[in-house]
Amino acid sequence: MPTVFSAKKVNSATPAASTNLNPSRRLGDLEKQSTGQLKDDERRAINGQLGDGDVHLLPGHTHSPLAAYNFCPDKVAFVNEDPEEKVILLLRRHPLTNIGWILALFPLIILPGFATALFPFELLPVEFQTVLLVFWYLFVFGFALQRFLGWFFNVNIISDERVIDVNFVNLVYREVTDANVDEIQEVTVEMGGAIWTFFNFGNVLVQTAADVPRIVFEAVPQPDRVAKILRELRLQEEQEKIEGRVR
Amino acid sequence: MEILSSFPDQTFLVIKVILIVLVAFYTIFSVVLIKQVSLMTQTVQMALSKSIKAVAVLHFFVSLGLLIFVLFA
Repeated sequence: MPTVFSAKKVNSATPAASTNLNPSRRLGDLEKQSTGQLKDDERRAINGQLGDGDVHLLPGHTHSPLAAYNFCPDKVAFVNEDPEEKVILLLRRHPLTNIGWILALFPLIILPGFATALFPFELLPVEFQTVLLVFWYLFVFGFALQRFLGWFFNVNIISDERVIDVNFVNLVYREVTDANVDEIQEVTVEMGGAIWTFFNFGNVLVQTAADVPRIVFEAVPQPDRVAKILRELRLQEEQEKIEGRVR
Repeated sequence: MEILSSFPDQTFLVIKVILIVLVAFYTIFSVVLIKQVSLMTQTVQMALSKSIKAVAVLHFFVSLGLLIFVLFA
């Protein structure tokens, strides 16, 4: 019940006054944070000191299921998740990386209109023409669905304990790689090219001491912030070790 | 119409068999797609998971419907 109350208050007209959020924060500040340093509220959210309802106004938190960057997402769970584990960040490739196959759809959609010029379909019985047309659009839909699924489910998850890379290479092959936060040795951000820089997305390479030496977050939005969140989690993990609070 | 009537029946039969094979393979693909979606949603549970499952199942039923249609066309 307290969580419900808290969530309602956050969505009210005066959220700062009714929640644990920093009251001095303004909308402009939130926008500036998109590439800047982590703010206290975000640090508290990462450290688990902020309630579920309080994260709703934090930058990067969204309820859009198609978001490529979601800070403290509401409804995300993954295989082998520990009961006490909390998802801090859900990442997938930037939507712009889908532009290639979306553009390829247009010629495929209009192709039947031109196909009659290449092949005399009118010579076939109407039933066959219908089957061919429906089959073609079903095939195009299947292609689009397949590409969408590849984008939607190939995610990177950062929890308060681990970094997880979920890869579906093809129809039946799944690869889930994870490494504990305290095994992270180095985090590298790669941004190359005008489009990547302009739209602020890039690769985050996580060097680990685990069996899998490197986890790559490909073309994720706001890679600098991802690196900062990973750094914050490592600091938190070190602090927990010092205090003897390691799970 | 003259051209159409000049097509031997066997030609239409061959075309029909090709269509049946194509749609049958596609129906198998749509079953694999359902399995894939199921595997994906088991791996990562998100808000859209149920809707995506529903789309995959609908996709299979449309494929199956097309297969039945082409069998009796």
